[in-house]
Amino acid sequence: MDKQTHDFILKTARGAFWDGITEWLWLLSYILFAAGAALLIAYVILPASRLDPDTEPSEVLKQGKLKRLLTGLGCYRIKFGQIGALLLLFICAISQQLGIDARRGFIADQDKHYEMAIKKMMALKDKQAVLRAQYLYMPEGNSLAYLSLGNTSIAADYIWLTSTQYVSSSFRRGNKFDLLYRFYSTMLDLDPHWIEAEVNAGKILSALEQDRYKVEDYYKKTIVQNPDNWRLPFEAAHLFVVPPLDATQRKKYSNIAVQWFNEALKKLNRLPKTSEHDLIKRDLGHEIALLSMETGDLGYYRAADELLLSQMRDADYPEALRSAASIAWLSAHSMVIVSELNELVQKYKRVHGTFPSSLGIIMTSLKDGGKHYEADAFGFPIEYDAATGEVSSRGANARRAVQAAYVMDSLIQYFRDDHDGRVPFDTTELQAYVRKLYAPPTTPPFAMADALGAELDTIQSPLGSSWDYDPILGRVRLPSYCETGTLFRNGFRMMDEIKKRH
Amino acid sequence: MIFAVIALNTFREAIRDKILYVLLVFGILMIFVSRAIGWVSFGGESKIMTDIGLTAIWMFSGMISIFIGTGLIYKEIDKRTIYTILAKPTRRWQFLLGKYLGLLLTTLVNMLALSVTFIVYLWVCGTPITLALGQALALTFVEMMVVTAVAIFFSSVSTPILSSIFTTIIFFSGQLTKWVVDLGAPLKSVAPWVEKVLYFIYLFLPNLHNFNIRKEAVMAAQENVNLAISTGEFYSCIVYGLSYTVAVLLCAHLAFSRRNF
Repeated sequence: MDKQTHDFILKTARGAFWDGITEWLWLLSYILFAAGAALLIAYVILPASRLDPDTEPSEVLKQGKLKRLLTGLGCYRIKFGQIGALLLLFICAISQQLGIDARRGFIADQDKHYEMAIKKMMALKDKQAVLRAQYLYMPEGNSLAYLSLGNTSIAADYIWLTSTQYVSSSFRRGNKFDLLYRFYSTMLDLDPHWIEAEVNAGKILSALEQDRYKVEDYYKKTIVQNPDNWRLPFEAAHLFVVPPLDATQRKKYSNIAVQWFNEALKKLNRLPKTSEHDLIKRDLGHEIALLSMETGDLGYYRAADELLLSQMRDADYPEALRSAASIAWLSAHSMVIVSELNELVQKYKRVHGTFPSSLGIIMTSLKDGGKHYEADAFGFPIEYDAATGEVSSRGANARRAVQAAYVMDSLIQYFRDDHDGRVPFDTTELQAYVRKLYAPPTTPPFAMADALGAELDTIQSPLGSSWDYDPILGRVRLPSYCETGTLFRNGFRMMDEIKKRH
Repeated sequence: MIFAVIALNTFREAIRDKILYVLLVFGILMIFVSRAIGWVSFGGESKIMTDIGLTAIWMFSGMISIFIGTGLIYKEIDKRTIYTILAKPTRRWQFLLGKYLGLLLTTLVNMLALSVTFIVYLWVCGTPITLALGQALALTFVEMMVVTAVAIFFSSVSTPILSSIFTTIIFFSGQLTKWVVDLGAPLKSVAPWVEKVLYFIYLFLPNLHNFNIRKEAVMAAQENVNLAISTGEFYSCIVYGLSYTVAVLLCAHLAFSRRNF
């Protein structure tokens, strides 16, 4: 780095543009000081008046040129003294001001001083001191209420603005956001019905806080204060829509999300009917139905089954969404069948101690001979593994496989772009690449995590076996029954029937 | 209608006071600046703007009532101009009422100027405006009625500086009276009488927080609702304000009628 660049960086780093001004300000101050001092000296040496009463005028004329000049300037003596003193006082004030500025700095410098102090404290690992220093920005909720003379709404504005400042400065420093939760709780205490800020606060918290349950606690507090508001449970639900980092939590997350969405829907139903509310309700219903299929709970599967069926039949619903609902319904209804059969298998095991050798044994004991359990909603026969007692729907698995295959193809394309057009040798190489690509703190896109699971498994397909991967073409192959026309034929047929009926 | 003449003259005198214009300019500036503060926020800009505007109107109206009101009667006594008024067939209560109404008119004109600026500014900025804001402004005026009465009371018995201090204390503590009772809670087991005394003080002090419906009004405006509080509660606050004002003015009359100049 050359000296000029170095100097420039140093100058810019100081933050204040006054440095450039002070360069010529110093010169000016020296000139003013000299002038002031000269005027004061003049005040001292000049005679008090033009004419000395003891001196005869004829004698004055006899005086030398310099003495005569000094005597002549005597009438300005007081003015010289005043201006000289004024200049020196002015310079004194300026120098004091410059000293104060150097110590305190301007606003930009003050912020830097504060950050430096915080960094020093952090270097000393004095976390309590750091927190105390940051607390200076935020008084307690009650004291704010007193300070604002009961104007708690404006105090909440203050806390909200301060929290924004806290987030941005903490982000710059790379700190954790220890006080954020407290900021928002205080804001909530001061103005419990400021929904917009509460929703935004929840969004910021959810972006910065890994622990979903902690953020959910914040939403619970806001919901207690605003029991009739639908947006808060709606936002709380969204916390759990994103797949968890821990894959075992998936079902639990979906379960919680569905509960919050249902809560939001209940509150929306209590509101006057408007076209906007109707639209939100439909979207909510669709989201609940889709999430219900992730819960692994028979009750939710049934609810999703009913919801999607009603959406398919709803003539006011947009055509594209009705078609989407019909495809989703195939999975939901298949999962209802699978779950009910799983329950029957478990019941059989409790009675006989072993799993049934085939599903036929169970079905014969049912009233209608288990006719409606013979095939899933896609029209495929129900699959059963006698060794593990696990019932599955080929159609539902095939649907997941279709979605996952799209994601796999995209990932292979990423791989190809990064490896000069070369495709992965096998899915194991692809998996290593993908896991490296989305290593923490990077998180995979929602659709990817949804299709491949939180562990980004590119080896095992949802069909229960390894992916059929073609290393020459760089594509995954699906069995013929996964072809869209075949797989969703029942859904399309149902939609046609409904259309005819309408 | 002598008091009306006095009121009109008091108003004329007050509007010549430079402090009125200083406060008015600051109030208007604060209303304008509110938008800039809103910009800093992430969401809720219109709420912050409305909050600051309403608070500015309240604060500057209060300051006008205090700063102008507290010197009003003392000035007449100090400059001996009261002799010329009371020498005429004018009763002391008429003088007092005239002074009060004159000051109230000044506050009203000032509040109207601030409120019109505020509402127009909100409208220009596209911020939601509903009648709820009108409710909040109306109750702020009722609050000013009480504060002005308190200022007149102190002005009739004390010097302007002391009156300003006392009125400011009442103005501040009046906002926080609902917390006065809470102060006794920690001492409930040790000295239960403290709570009772505090409760008495609470009842005695004007509860100016009653008139603070700014938070509710802002929320109502944001949601396009016309009422910040129910009509019943609104009238109840007005009645409270009027009765307290008359009571304080009576006290002022009692003190002023016994006063020797």
